[in-house]
Amino acid sequence: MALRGFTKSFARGLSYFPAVRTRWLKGIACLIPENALAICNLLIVGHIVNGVTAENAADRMTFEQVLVWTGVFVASMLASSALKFGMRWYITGASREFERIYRRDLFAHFMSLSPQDVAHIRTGDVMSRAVADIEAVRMLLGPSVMYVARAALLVPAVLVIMFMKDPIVASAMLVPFIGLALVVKVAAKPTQHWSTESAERLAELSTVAQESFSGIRVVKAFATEGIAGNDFKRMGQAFLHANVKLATLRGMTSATILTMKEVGVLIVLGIGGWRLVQGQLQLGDFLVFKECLDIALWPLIAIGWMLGLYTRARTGAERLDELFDLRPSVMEAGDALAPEHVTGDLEVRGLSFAWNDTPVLEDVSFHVPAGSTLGITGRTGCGKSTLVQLLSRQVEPPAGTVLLDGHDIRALSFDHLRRTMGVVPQDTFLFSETIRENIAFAGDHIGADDVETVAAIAQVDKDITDFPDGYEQLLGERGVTLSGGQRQRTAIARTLAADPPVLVLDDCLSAVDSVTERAILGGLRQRLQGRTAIIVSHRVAALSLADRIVVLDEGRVVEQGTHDELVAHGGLYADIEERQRIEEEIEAL
Amino acid sequence: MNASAPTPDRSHQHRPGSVHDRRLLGRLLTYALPHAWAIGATIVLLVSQLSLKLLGPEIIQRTIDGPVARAMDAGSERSELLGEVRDYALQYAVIVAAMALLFLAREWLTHRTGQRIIYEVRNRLFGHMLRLPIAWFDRHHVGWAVTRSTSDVDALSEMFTTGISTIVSDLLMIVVLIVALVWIAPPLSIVALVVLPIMIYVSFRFRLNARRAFRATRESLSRLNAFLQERLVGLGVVRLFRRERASANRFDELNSVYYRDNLVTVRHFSLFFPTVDVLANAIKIGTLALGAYLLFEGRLTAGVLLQFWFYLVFIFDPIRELAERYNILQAAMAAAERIFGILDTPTEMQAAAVPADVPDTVEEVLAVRTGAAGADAPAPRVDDPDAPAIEFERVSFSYPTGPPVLHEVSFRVRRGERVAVVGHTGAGKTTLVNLLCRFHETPRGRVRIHGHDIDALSHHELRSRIAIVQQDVFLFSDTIANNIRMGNAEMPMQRVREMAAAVHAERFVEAQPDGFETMLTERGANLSSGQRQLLAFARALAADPDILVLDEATSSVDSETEALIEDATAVLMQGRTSLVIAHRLSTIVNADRILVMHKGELREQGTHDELMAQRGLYHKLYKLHLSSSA
Repeated sequence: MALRGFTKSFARGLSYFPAVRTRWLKGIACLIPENALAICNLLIVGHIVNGVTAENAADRMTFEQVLVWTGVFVASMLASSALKFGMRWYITGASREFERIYRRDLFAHFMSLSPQDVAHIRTGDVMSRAVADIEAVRMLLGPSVMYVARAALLVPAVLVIMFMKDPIVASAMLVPFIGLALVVKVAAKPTQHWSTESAERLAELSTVAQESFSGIRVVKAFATEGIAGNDFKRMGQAFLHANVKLATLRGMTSATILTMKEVGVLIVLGIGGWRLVQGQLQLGDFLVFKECLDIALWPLIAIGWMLGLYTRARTGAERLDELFDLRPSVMEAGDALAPEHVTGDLEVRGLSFAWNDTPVLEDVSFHVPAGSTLGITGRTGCGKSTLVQLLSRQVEPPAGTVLLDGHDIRALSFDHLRRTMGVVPQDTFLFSETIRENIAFAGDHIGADDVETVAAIAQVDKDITDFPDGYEQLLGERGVTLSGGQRQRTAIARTLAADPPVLVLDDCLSAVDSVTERAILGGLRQRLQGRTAIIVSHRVAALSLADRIVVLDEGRVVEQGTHDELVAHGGLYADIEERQRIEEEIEAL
Repeated sequence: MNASAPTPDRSHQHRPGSVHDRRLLGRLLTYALPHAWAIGATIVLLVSQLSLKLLGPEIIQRTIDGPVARAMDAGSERSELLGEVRDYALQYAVIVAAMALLFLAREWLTHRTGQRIIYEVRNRLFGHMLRLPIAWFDRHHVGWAVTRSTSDVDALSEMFTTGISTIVSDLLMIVVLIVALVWIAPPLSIVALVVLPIMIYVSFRFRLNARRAFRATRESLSRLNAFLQERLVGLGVVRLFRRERASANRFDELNSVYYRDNLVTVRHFSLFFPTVDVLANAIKIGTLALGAYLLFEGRLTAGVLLQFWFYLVFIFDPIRELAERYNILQAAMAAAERIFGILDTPTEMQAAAVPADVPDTVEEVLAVRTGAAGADAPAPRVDDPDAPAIEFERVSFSYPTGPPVLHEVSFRVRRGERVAVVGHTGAGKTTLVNLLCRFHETPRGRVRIHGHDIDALSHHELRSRIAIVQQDVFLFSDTIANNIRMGNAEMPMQRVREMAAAVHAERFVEAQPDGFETMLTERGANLSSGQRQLLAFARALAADPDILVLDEATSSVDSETEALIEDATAVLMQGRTSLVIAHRLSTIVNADRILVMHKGELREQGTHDELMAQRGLYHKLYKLHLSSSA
């Protein structure tokens, strides 16, 4: 049953085994003779000591013989060390390869998911699984297997040697061996418990620190620095307690291990001494007994370590499976279309949509003929952004509701859809790479000229050349931080760089001042010649580029027409238009 | 490097043993000073343990060279010899028991002491950080600050617990054992004396390489992590631009770099252990061959050979570990430097040179509130009854880099007056609040409350008179009750309930799974934004301030909640001087006076009707923002 649990939890991990099998087997091939040679070395030492301390002169070794055996020992030890290198190198190396594949697949899996599929998982959580959990599984299936294999070979071997040398002393030596195995087993669980406890207390402490620092204004406003400090102290006390417990436990474990070792020496001294005096044992064997214990010590401790690791690795593997089990909500159709001819005719037909039973869009229909520009506007929360996400298939629309050149977009291949339709999303996320890389994000085929052309259209070129490194300027924590407006303009350039026949701009000028806005719109007007475009905005200036404007309210199309028609109509659009006029007046005051 | 020059922000290259590090170490040791007795006891335990460890092989030698050797000569009485062996074994047993006890005692003592020291360092650091000016928090990432108070302190902890204790014990062990080797068999020690230095060299050399490899690994891992995090956060963009495959390829590259860096580490380790093994075995076998020769020559006894062998085995482990300890010490030094860097940053009161009176305990908070502060606390100030509750006199402000945010703003708020501040985005409204609460220092001009210049008030005195409700409500991961009683931790449950009831929060709180004892998740994510606002109101009400500063949230809430908030706002302002950055029409219309801010200046003031009649800025703002909610 335990085995079934093991294969179930580690099914994915074990499926990677074939990829690392060769290296793995090489490591095992080194491990077996390495252990045999380690035993040989031990026996040679015993033999020499026996020889040089033999009772009667006839059994005694000559010095030449000692040198010969020394030579044998040196040869064997060199060989054993070389094998030991091979063992570590291959087995640990294989485990690293295993880790690499595991993590690569996890990332590739994430690339098939959409933001809404992973919205319920915190990024930090994914990160810790991708690093720490994979590491735990690696440790279990890599190094720990090596240690356990060694233990499985060495412990029986030294037991056999001891019993061959002297069954009486050997029987007594079982006490420290069993003692060690017991300590390791008994200590594994509480050690695991208290180290988890300690880690949890530390996490709590970090949370308190994190919150106090994030909410520092509230802490200060209520003058509760002292109280927050007290909370921290209380948590610190719990952390201290867990750590002292853990240290005491570890101390006791180490003390017992050391004591078991010394008990072994004591048995060798007492019982071995008795056998020596009786002439039943030779001095070299006396030494062999002591060394046997030393040799078996580490593998035995390693088993305890593995026992502790097992639970951790198993939880890790299960948590990783949770990620692998996430299913993409938007998937490419099996026989996806990639029509050669693109005109850019876009139609939305009777589109209704709800997020978790909350209706967002109700029966939305409109048609954007190829080469024309449609404006979409409405108050905050009217469903504009959801509409953009649906018609660009970032979120799955109901079948047959969004048509590009007469094809349901759900039938189109992702390659075709993304190449045809460029979207400037509202969330202008840029990567911590150079500005050039960010603008040329859509593909490696975008040249330096293209980048600079689109940067000029988006009115971000002057900002860029003002940076110390120009287009090679790194963004993000290690580079410069862009203002909201600069980010939006860079994001516009990024989408323009791909030169898509259909362009969707989702409220991407909100952080840009009105002068720059006008300049960008002027540039866009030329760029949009002959292209289909959708401009989502609550700014009248941006909408003025549109041939037709659709006004949404509470998920429904409430008005539709040209700018002039809508202003004359005196409805929602006219209201928005008037507010913006007042706003400009205020700005001018 | 000039040792006398103050170098707080020096490079990250740490050369242990430099004057700088010794000063750091000295400063660290001041934290250990109160625990001097424990450290002294540790040393006594350590020396005793070492002596016993040396004694063990000595007994073995005596057994071998005594009864065992004599057993080989015919004529000795067997039972007598066996008795001797038994006696030696008993002696050894006593030593084993004593060593176990000493070891336990030492472990317990070092960890207890180390953890206590660390506990104090951590508390001191955290307490200090909380008292740093807001500007410091604006400059540093929260994550960075958290790391300082957790990981860096842990690096120190390792030094105080295992680090120093084992490094001393290991060094002592190596020195004592080498002396012992030479002492018991000078000619036999030749092999060890020649090869041991090589072993020490190899060990250090390895650690050096391993550390470099580790650093490379850490760096490639952090690049991998950074990439992973960004692609996760920017997943939408990746998918929108069809860069899934390209991203996966790039990830694969970074992942492979990390893999290769790991292999370098693996190679170092795979080489190190066998190499040290070869050296250790060379010492063993060389000593054995030499021992055989000396034995044949009659210049060595079998017992001494064995004793020597035992001592040799003792010495290998500490040598293997020594360089590792040194690394712990280095990491601790780097951490200490960053920690002291923070501790040397002046706190708000140090910066403002006012008495450090932030109370550390609930009792002290209450004492300050009730005026029953200790004798050394500053005497409560006497307010000038005629002075305005809030007064801004020609206040100007700008951030270090940027245009002026406030320009020559002057106004007065009478006691009990309800004043609403309105203005377009970027008018400087929030800055008014920040200056009033002294989140930012020294503007040009004067800010007074009840006639006291706020610069002359301690932060605590100032902030315990003002309660502020921020637009972005920040709730802590604690129970709802504790979030409400934040300003007054001793507040009985009954009062907490009353506060919640007064601002209409009681009903939804009771509907939570554990009522007032419900734990809030990170920042109160399990509540709606309207509910969070109501809790912030209850919190402010519980603090019972003279002056209420309210930055109304702009987030839209359903109309029922809207009505509750409106009503609660009125309750909150009742009988208090209040300054409200207002977005709600009801708040504005009900205010005694409205201040209209625009582009950092105070442009208009008056009641709603007066201002509407002026048909100026307010009239326009009203039409823009407020008419629809009317």
